Amino acid sequence: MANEDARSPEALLPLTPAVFHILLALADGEKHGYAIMREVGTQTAGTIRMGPGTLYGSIQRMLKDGLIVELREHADPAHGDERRRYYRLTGFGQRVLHAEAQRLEKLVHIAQNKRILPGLGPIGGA
Amino acid sequence: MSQSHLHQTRPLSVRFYQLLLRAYPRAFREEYATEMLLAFRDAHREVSRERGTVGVLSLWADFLYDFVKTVCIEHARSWTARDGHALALSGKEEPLAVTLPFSLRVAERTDIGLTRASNDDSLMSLVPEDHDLAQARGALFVVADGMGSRGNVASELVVQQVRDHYYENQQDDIPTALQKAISQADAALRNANGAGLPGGESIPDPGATFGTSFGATCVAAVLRERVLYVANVGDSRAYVLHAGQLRQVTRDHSLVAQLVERGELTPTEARTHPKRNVIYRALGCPDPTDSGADLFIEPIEEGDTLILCTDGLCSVVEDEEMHTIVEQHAPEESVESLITLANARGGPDNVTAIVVQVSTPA
Repeated sequence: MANEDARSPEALLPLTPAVFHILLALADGEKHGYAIMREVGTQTAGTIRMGPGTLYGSIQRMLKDGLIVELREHADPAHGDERRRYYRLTGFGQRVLHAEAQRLEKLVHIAQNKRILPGLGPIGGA
Repeated sequence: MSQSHLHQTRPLSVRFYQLLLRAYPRAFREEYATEMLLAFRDAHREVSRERGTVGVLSLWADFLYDFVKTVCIEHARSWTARDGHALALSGKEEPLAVTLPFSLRVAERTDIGLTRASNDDSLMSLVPEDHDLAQARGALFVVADGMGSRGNVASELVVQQVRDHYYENQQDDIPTALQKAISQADAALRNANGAGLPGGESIPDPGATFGTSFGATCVAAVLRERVLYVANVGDSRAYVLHAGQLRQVTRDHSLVAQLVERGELTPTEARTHPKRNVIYRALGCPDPTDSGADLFIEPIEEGDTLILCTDGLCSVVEDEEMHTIVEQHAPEESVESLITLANARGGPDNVTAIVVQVSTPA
């Protein structure tokens, strides 16, 4: 329906961890639900284990907000003939992901400057 | 959908999870249950293969926790109101919601102000998640300003009563349903007043022209399809910003408004008139004829903005200022700025505002 989403990505920040992780998981291509859950576990080395309720609850909101779109009944050869729903980032979703990553980067930068994290800072870093 | 694959090799675990899924709201279940079950099955397979029984127990712990948490959230979501917070999963709502054929962005704020000891304003916004309900009854926004020593209880009661009675009414058309809901709120206030006070008497309130210690103003707006319905009792207000013009939709039931209408007072004089707070209609009055609501029906288009507020805002902030703020900001910033401005002007009363931006769905 919308050709170019003119909304400002910043209006949706800060994202919840659940949403951010889902966007991150979809950044390198479309995935179905379980693949997203698995990747979130991998990304976070098992510290965040996203259940289906959280996943699909988030997906529902993200669909409404135009961050992702659903590709219905996509047949995945790895699962035989089984049809599952795949999800993909929209242009707007990509911009929101980018905006949130930048926001976090700025915070990390502040943490580095205050010597909480190792990294370059005005006094030379740890 | 893919039920046949599940039927073939369904272990007990999967069947049990399928049973649990029944606890989710119907709409959510119809949409996602299959996917959730498939995800569970895949997770179960992978974990039992790689980590055995210990892994499966751990999986169940995670999934049960997720289940309990999200069932509550999803049920709350199919009924709760919207407000303008950032995208979140904690039970706060996202800024955008769909009421066919529009997308509504809602923000609401209430503030005690700088001089009052309590906040006697109440407010609520409800944009139904359920498409059928949104189609039939639309979205509802209510603001109420309580009067008397228990004003906060009165206004909260009004808001709840209007919301519940309006949505429960399946048969009447919208204007009738709205009027009835307000009458029922009025009756509830009178019952509560009679029941709550010793001897059941009302104590005259020095600020009112009639004797009630348990009353409230109320402005209730319904947005459905391309029509806005507004019912008003008292001096809280509804405005619509349309095509660059801000217009007050409701008519204040205040003495000064009557004088202005009759040409005996200018709007500017009305703002500083000693009797500007005196109203001649409110909910909860001993005499029901003093509680009649006015009904206004207006077309609504994409690009319009609806504003509901109590007199704590419109008595200290000029219409043009409200116009500028709402036109230039998203609803979330607008409500913040309006309240900040009211407090900058001394915050003489509680301040409440709901701002609803109407646009086409993304």
